[in-house]
Amino acid sequence: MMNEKSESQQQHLETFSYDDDVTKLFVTATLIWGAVAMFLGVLVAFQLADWRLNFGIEWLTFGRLRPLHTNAAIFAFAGNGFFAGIYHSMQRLLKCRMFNDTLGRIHFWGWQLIIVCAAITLPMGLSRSKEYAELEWPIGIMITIVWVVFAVNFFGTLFKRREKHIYVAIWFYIATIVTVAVLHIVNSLAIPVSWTKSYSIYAGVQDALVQWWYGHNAVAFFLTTPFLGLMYYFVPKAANRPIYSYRLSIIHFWSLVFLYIWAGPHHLLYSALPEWVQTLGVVFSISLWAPSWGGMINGLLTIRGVWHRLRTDHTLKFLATALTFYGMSTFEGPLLSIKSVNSLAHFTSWIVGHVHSGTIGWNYFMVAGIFYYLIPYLWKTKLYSQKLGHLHFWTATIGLLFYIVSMWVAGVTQGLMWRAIDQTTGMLVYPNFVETVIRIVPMYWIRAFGGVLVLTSFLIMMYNFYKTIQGAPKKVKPEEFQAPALHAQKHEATQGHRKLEGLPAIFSVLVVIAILVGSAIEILPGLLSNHFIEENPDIKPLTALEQAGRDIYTREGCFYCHSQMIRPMPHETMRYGKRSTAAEYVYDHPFQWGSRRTGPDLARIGGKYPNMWHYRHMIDPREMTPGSIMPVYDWLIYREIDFEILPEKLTALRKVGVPYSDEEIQNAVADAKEQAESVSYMLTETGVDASIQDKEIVALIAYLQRLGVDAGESTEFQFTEENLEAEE
Amino acid sequence: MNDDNKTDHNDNQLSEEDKALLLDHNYDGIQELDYPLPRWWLVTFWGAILFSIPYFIYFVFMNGPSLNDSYNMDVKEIKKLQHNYFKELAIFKPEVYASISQTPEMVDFGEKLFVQNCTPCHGPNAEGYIGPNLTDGYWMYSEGTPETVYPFVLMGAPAAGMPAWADKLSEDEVYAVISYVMTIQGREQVNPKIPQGEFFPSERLPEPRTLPSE
Repeated sequence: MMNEKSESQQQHLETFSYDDDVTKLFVTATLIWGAVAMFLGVLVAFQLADWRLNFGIEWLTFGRLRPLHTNAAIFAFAGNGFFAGIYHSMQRLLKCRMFNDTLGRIHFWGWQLIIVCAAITLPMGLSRSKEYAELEWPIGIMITIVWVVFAVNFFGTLFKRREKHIYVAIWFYIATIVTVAVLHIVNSLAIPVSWTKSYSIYAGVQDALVQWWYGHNAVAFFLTTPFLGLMYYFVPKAANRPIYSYRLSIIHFWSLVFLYIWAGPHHLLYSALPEWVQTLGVVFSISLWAPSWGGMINGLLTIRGVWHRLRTDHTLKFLATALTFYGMSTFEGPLLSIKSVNSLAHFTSWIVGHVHSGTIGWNYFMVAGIFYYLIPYLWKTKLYSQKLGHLHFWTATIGLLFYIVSMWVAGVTQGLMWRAIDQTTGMLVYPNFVETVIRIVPMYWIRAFGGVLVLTSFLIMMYNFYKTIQGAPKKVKPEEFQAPALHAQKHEATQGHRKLEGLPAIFSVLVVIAILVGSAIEILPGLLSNHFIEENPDIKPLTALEQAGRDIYTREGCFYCHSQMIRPMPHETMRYGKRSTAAEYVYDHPFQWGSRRTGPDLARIGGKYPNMWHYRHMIDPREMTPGSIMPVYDWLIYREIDFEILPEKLTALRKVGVPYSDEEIQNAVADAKEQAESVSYMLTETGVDASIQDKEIVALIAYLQRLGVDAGESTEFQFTEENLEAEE
Repeated sequence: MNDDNKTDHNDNQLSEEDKALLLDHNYDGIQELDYPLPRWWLVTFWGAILFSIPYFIYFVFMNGPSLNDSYNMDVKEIKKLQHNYFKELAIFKPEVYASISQTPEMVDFGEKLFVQNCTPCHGPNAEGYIGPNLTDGYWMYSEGTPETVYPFVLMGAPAAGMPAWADKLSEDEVYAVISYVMTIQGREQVNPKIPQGEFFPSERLPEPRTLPSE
């Protein structure tokens, strides 16, 4: 059974079995959460095509469900999926049962509890408003604890392994575990106001930098490195071929781990982020192309010679397709990081398509491929239906293509419409933002259709696996294996990297150093010094009522559709007002720059419309903007402002650096009520009931009317008499 | 699943070249070859890095154009175009207005534009809502004549909530909207807003019908 080293070692053989039950638990959870995540994806996709599909229920509104969809897809589906693969493969690669079975169970049930908490709190609007890090602080702490449990179990297993050298898959698992821990902790630092509310300790530019360092590397170390590790185990297993190139493994592993961490700022190109950081993000993103492709070619060339088996072997077929989509999206990523490409694509659906070619094309297909191998193997049976496997593959692939192509078309179309300037008048060709929305709604329908196909494919797969497991023998004796203990083995002295592979502790330390270098150089200067943020004494903290409004803004997830970042491009400053500067965001905990403009930018919305406009717009967006796809927010008219918590909120904000005076904190309630009265006066004057003044909508209007006001107006492009006289 | 998933790699799938490059690594039956890195991959890898260093140095240390620099250059070009356009636009052209206001299709077009852009604030019948009633002969920022309404529509009054329309509507569109508004002077309103501003008599509405409450 096992590969014996030499005759003399046979007397020291130890007998052991593997903990496959924990893998089975993770497999089951992956299938359940995968269906939930994709169902949510389909629902929010239809909501963009038809605004009525939240059925008027606040808990089902896009802004609340989008974070649930992304968290479910990333942490519940992909997370459980790679945990299953790691528990299975690492025990075999290290010839060793998991360090502790109970820790594995705590890891499993703890993780599911976190997901259930997410599923309850996110629709309630409890959110930190940082993408893929929305979960409030108590859940954030749970994540930390469960991750540490996983790490202890993982490194404990490494410690008692019976295989001297660690295989490339394990390298990637190490990188995953240490880096996710660092990312999660640093990005989650916050000051709590209550059990359900906290403020990020970082503000504005710094918060943006830390968030996208996290966000980008969540993609890198939660969705990429664990799956590359799994690829290195399951592709050679399924292909029955040796890995193509050991040296490529070494080079692409270290270059990937070192370079990836630097690339986060490409999410913030043309923003108020210091330009040297943006430029770093660009060059490291471009440099990342080859290391990413190193993984793809090492996988695909391993399949070399057995390509014909892709026709019949579902595992190989899915893994090869996953690698192809991985290659596609890791080419598209560096492409989108080039400044001029980014200027067109950023804030559009193109990015949404790019993300899904990764999560569906790479992560979902990887999980599917692995499970076609793992489920029959673990349950000691055969796949229920080959035909359904083929149907699964084609439904998923075609659905994904509909998704990617429609988003690409929508993104390029909208990006070009935004920037279109008439070459004779110098005016915007599409001055009304809603025109650019109406144009791409058909693409939203096609995307939703693609999503339905992908969900259907998943349900087909679930059914096939359900029948497979149902038909499996009920009781199987766990298989036993034999190998000598590590200390009883004799190994020839090795050199260089091979020697390092025998020293996992040092290996792990080197990985930590590799990821910390880039992190420190990029993030620390911005955190430790305000040198990079020009000062502007006109920028003042929000009033208590405006802060209450901002908390409603973050609760409703407005930033998923509305940016607050005007880029230095004429079409942006003509449409929205003067370009955003770092100084304007110094009190923003968290920052709300956004990543997609489904609706227009709001950085300078303050004062642009009367209060009544906003009031009517929340009740019926289409009354104010015909063709708008924004959902109705009528609950803001019934829900009351929580005035009493305001002093605590301002106190918490003061702890993270917002200069509220003692007086402002003491008088927060009275001040807020006074401002609410004056805001609602302009409403009641036009016939709105007087009881409106303690409702949430008043706080939200107060916040919206403040946005961009401190920075002053820009008349650069306005048709004014001064502009007419000036020049020449 | 295929049944040939055995951990024996020494079958005929390995070419002679493979066999020469096979390492003695074995992890759960997984072996490793040691092919050299593909040349095109190396070129891409080092090419990207070699591109990055001078690129970074140029933009960060050698005063390469900043985002602001390129923005300001673009703005200059566009402002030149706009300046010419605005200068032309600023002049009220009675003959153009006359031809548009006398073309029923253009007045209908003006109504359509009004419904799309103006009714959210001025009410579905222009009876006044967030903004003032446009049919009662009272005017706040103009004298109710096409030539005085025209510059106000173009420039707006941000303090009062009236946006500038110069960047949202073309010259002809502004004439069309004004033509339409002139046709609804004196319209009978069920629930008009209280008059705002000063009364200016016009052909359709020589006398005020309602008086300001204060």
